[in-house]
Amino acid sequence: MAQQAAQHMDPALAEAMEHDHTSTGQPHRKVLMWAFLGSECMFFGALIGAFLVYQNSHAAGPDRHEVFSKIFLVSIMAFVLLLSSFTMVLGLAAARRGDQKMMTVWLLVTAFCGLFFIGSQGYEFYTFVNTDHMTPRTSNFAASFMILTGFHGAHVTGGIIWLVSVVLLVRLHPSQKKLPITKTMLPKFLSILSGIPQRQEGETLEPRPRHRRFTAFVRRQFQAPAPAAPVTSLSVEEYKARHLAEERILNVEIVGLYWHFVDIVWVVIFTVVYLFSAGAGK
Amino acid sequence: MATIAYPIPGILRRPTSTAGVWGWITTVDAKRIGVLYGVTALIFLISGGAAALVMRLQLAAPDNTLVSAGTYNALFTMHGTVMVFLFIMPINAAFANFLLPLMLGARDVAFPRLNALSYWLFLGGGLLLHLSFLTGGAPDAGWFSYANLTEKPYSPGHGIDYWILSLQILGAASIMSSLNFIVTIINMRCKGMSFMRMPIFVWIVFIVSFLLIFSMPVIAIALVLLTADRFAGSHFFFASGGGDPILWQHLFWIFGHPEVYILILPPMGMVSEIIPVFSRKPLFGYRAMVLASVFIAITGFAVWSHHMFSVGLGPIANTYFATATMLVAVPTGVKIFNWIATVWGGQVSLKSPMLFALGFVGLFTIGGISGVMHSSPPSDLQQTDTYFIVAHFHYVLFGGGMFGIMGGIYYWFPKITGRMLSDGLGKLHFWLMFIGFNVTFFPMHFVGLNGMPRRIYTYTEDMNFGALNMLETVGSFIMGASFLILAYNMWKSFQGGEKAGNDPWDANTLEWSIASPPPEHNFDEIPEVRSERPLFDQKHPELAHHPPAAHAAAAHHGHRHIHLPAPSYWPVIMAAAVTIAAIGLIYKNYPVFGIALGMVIVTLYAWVKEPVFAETKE
Ligand SMILES: [Cu+2]
Repeated sequence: MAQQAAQHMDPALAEAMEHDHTSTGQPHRKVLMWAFLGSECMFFGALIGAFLVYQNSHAAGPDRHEVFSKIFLVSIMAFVLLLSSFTMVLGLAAARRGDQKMMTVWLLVTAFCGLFFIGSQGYEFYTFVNTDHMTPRTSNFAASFMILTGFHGAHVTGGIIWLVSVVLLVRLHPSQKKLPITKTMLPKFLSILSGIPQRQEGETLEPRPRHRRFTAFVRRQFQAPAPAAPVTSLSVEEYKARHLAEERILNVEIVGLYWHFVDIVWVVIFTVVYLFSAGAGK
Repeated sequence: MATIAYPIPGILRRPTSTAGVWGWITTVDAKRIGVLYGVTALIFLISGGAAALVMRLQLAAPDNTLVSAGTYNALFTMHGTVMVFLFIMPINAAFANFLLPLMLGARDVAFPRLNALSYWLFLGGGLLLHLSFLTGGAPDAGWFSYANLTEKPYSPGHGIDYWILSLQILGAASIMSSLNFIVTIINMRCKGMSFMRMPIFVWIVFIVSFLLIFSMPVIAIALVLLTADRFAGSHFFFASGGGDPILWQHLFWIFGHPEVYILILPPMGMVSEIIPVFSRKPLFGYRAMVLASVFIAITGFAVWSHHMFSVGLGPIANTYFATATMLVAVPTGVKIFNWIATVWGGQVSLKSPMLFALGFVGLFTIGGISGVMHSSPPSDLQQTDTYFIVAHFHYVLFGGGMFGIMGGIYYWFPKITGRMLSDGLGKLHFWLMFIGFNVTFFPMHFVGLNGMPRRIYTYTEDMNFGALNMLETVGSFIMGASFLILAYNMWKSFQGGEKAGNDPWDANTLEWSIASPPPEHNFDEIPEVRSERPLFDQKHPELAHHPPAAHAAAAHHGHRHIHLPAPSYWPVIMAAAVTIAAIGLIYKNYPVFGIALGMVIVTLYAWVKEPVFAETKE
């Protein structure tokens, strides 16, 4: 079937498709990300192993039950980071719908959750050093803990920069319509100041009840993309445009894979490092 | 529909020319990168080989004083590190880069710029390691650099820092190139090439790439911990600070044992390609070969403590690791029998590639058998840290690895350069190397069992090691001379060797279906494959179970311009920035480190923003 269609295809289209063809049908970059995450498991595995070896070697410094007895903040951190996995999913769904605005919002919310996590971790380290008098020189327990969580924190930081870069690369791309600021920011600013709602051109004035608007908005966040036309019916230009759009969605999907992985690693660290220590001390 | 190709402003435009030195520096063509890997590895081989010959001269006579004990320590450290990381691994990568796209029927690897970055990082790491010589103080703690030796109080100089950071860079380079190979193999097989129709060499590169991405992170983390010890005052491996030096051994060998398979499997793959061609038979037990390789790779992660029997891990650990190690002999034996069965009853032609391949099978078997001997802890306790071990792993890595690699060079050199190597000189090379090798390493079994320890710069007269050591030194120089013949053979071939043509060996795999050297785009028409011997099918349609599609053998349909990714400046700039950052870190020169790191980040963005094809004015 597909082969028959391919024979009647525009040769230029066939060539463009051959260029993007992969044996599995999955894009190269996605396969690369999965393989890379496999490799990352071993990085974290070795660090967690080192921590398990040294978790009771606290020397003259505080032991782990002491240090991890207060796990309120770190529980909040874990919750926020897991929440960010959810917002990441919503960001990808928005990208798939072609809803750039909500994509930007969700990706930035995700990045903000990451920022909260890093900030809290910074505060946590600060209290370890200043209140518990625990530095990498204090004991092997402290050093292995700090290297493990620091390595994870570096991953979160990298993820934040990546998320913001993905948003910027899309928003600053020359394909974006460049409206003058008087047409974009100014009316919004004025409407916020005056309290008069901003009206889009051509928008119907029929008001919808507030709760209906809200449920419609929520439902839209989970919407799947509209079914696409079969490739063989496209012109080369249309095919290339669609491919470009797919590549942009892929950018979001890949940073999403990375982000989910970093979150899952935190679940393991939270359990092995914090929960086991907090529970086993008494 | 309006145009969608927006001009993306770059700081540096993608170059368009592939000519001259800049063409090589900015190249993203896997074949050229393969050649760069190969040439660089052969140059580093001179460095590693010279270190070996100086060591042999020092050991030629008892109480010799050619080099000091300290220099000798640096020599064996550099010899091991260079041969493992700067010769065998990169030359395997050279073959993989050159052959993978050709064997898969692809135009390039999946990520051409990442491939270039892997090469330039490898070069940066290799130069960094050698820079330690010039700055006074090469690393001298052995290639596995056991703690406590590597801690600041025992190695106060910069040698270990150079070793740590160059290994870190080399590791990153291998992870990148392995990821690239994995994606290439998963995603860029030509039509009809299912996994079970891939050439055995491709299979082995696939397996080795997984070994690399899973084992390299472990040494990377071990090196990070060691860096923290040396730079930040922690004491992970420092016994007097409460650290556990044994943890280093565990982490090192969790990497180190798979590493041995990373070194030896690609030569096995080359030999598995060579033997069928020169026996005029298909490879015996293709599926068994694939499964044996997968099994070897998996068990590779479960046997590391056989390097640590003398630590005293206890009877349960020792029993487990001994049993698991002996188990590895089973798939390895399957391979050896498969090679023998391939030769059995074939029309064997003893050209130089075949001689090296057969040399591989024989010598590797000897190395494998001595390996089974010290997989048993009681026996190992007698042999560990003696020359018996040196003999064992040189039979595996030189008798196996080097002979396989030389076979690969003689076999694929005509494809790479378009010209044949002299077969007569090749045979001379083989026999000199074979004799020199055995004269050097076979006596080491005896001096080792008689108690001569490794890594000791001299011995006394009354130990009676003198005569055999002198013999070993003579053998090592015979081996050295054999490499001069290879160099002369290559030089002569460049001077006007016999033209190779497409398929000088009457081979089976796709790389021989195209011109030698292959054109930049590899295939005019992407081939279609019906078995694991696609070229054989094309040449003998009457014998094939599934005759190849008509168009595969037919001439290409007129001229067609094939778009290839344009060269790029960023890989080499990125690698330079990383290497400079490492040097800044070694000397704790944080401004240099910071600026170089900033350069890495800028390069990353430039890399992402760079279009795939050169910007052309239309
Ligand atoms: Cu081993």
